[in-house]
Amino acid sequence: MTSEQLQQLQGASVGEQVVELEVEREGNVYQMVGVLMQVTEDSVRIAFSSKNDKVVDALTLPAEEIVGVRLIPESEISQV
Amino acid sequence: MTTNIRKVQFVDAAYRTDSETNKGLDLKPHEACGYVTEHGDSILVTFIQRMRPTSLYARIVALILGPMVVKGLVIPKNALHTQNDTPVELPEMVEGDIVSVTWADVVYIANNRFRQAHTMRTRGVVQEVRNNDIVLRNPTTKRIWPFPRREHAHNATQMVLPLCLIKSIKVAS
Repeated sequence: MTSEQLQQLQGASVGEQVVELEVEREGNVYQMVGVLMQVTEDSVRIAFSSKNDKVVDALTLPAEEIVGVRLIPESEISQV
Repeated sequence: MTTNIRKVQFVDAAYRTDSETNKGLDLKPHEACGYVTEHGDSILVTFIQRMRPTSLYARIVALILGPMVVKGLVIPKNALHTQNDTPVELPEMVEGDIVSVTWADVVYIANNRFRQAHTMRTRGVVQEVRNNDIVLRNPTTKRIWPFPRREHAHNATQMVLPLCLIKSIKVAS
């Protein structure tokens, strides 16, 4: 993760901001989307689902595996 | 088929075991966020996907067998909060009746191809019928589709089924 990407995530609202990350691991590139839960210099945690407002599925990603970051504007997210 | 990033609110069945006597029997709201695609009666919420396969072969396989999902949920459309306002017509039943309920389950998938929501069958004793759900005692549940048939929630002592997920109910004579 570049310092620009880290700054971008640090400026986002934890627990609310939806983010799309590109992650490279063992030669494969993955795309994932979730709610930003925690940002440190070493890792980023995103949540995929919750039950009664408690996170039930989340993932912590090492910063060095993150190759792309996109903050999704609220206007791009539709509610189902 | 459309692909979008969406927040999805839905309901799911819940159950309680002997060791969870303090657990409430109210259905809790669920929320998920991911890439949403529609597939017939279900939606697929993909949390993690591999980047689009580059080879033609991989694309054809995905087209025929369905997309490979690294991590996601298959949710029956009836479970969505926006679409669950037409519950099944309930037969006459009272507390203590034995019923057989066929219902659609929410399915977690990991490193697998998309499949339609699972169909389950639960046999149990009616404890309470409420506005949006039914509570069963001593439930036994089997997945009846897709094969193979498999027991589900085998240690449950009570189960709450949202009416919107129910496909049919039969009262044992």
